[in-house]
Amino acid sequence: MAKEPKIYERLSRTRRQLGGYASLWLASDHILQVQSTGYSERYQRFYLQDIGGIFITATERRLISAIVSFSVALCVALSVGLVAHSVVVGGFTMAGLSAAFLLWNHLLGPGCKVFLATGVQTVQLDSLVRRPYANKIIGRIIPIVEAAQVAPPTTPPNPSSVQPSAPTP
Amino acid sequence: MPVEGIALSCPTCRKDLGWGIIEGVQTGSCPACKTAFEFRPFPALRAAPTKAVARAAITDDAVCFFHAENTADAVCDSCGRFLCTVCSINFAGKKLCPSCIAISKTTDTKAIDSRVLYEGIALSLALFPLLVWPFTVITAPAALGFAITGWRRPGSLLGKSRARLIIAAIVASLQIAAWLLLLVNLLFHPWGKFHLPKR
Repeated sequence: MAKEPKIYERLSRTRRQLGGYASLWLASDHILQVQSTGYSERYQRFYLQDIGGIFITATERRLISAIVSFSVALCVALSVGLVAHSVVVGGFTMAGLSAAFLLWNHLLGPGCKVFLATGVQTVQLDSLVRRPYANKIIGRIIPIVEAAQVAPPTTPPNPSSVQPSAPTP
Repeated sequence: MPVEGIALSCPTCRKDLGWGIIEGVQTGSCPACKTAFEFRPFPALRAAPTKAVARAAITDDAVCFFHAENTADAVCDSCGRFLCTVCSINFAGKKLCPSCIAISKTTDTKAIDSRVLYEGIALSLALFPLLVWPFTVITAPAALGFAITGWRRPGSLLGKSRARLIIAAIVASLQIAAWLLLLVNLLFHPWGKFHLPKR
């Protein structure tokens, strides 16, 4: 089997989600969203000339992550405290884990959803879920899309001047 | 009142936003579901949608393969059929007919919408059953089969990982060899049913 030429450049890192992974890739004339389960991949293409705009909405991801992180830290601290038979050890474990999780969650920034709007659909980009990272990727996309859309269109041939030749057998 | 171009709908509830001319980044909320959002427009938003209008065929005109009543205005770059303006679709730099676009979804890397990852299947079948090793008598040959099949089939559009196929094939082969060794040992062990008689 002939080797397929590499035509895609990574645009965003792979994000784990329920049931698989999502990532964004860039080709010369389109953006490719890949959703993978590890056993199969599904592709969605957004041609640069068709992209009308980008929506960004806020989500409560940071708050939910904080609650989940705090709960996990509490469970771990309780386990450590029970094993060590010491409330102090459990308390310090809880404080340390909570501080680490909450700091990491805070540094990731607020949650968001990003959508690409075209003439026929508005599709969510599943790999962009945190605002600072989404802003960085959108900042990369904007000049590429604008360059593709501002470029002078190729003049379509006058239909009456097209001379269809005989079809190939 | 929406102007010509792309009609915008709320990303959450999909209702029409009813926006007019948009310049620059806009912040607002959907009048229906009240979702707040930020919107960044591109020039394509204001582009007038193109409509394909077929011309009725006059006597002696070449006609479209799919619509005999329409004049042929183009030729499919793949199959050479005559096409009217409705059937001629610009796709990946070519003019194609609907039939060739459907075929290209299985062959053209610019049209394929899904791929099976044989390397993932082979590696999972080779490794996960080790947790319950008796199942490897079935999964090891299956893993080897998927590894061989995946070697010859196209992989992910993003790049094929032959290393995973090789690892899966090696692990599966070792498992098959172990089972064969066990079988031989059972057959020819002094306590086995078919042991060789003493000379």
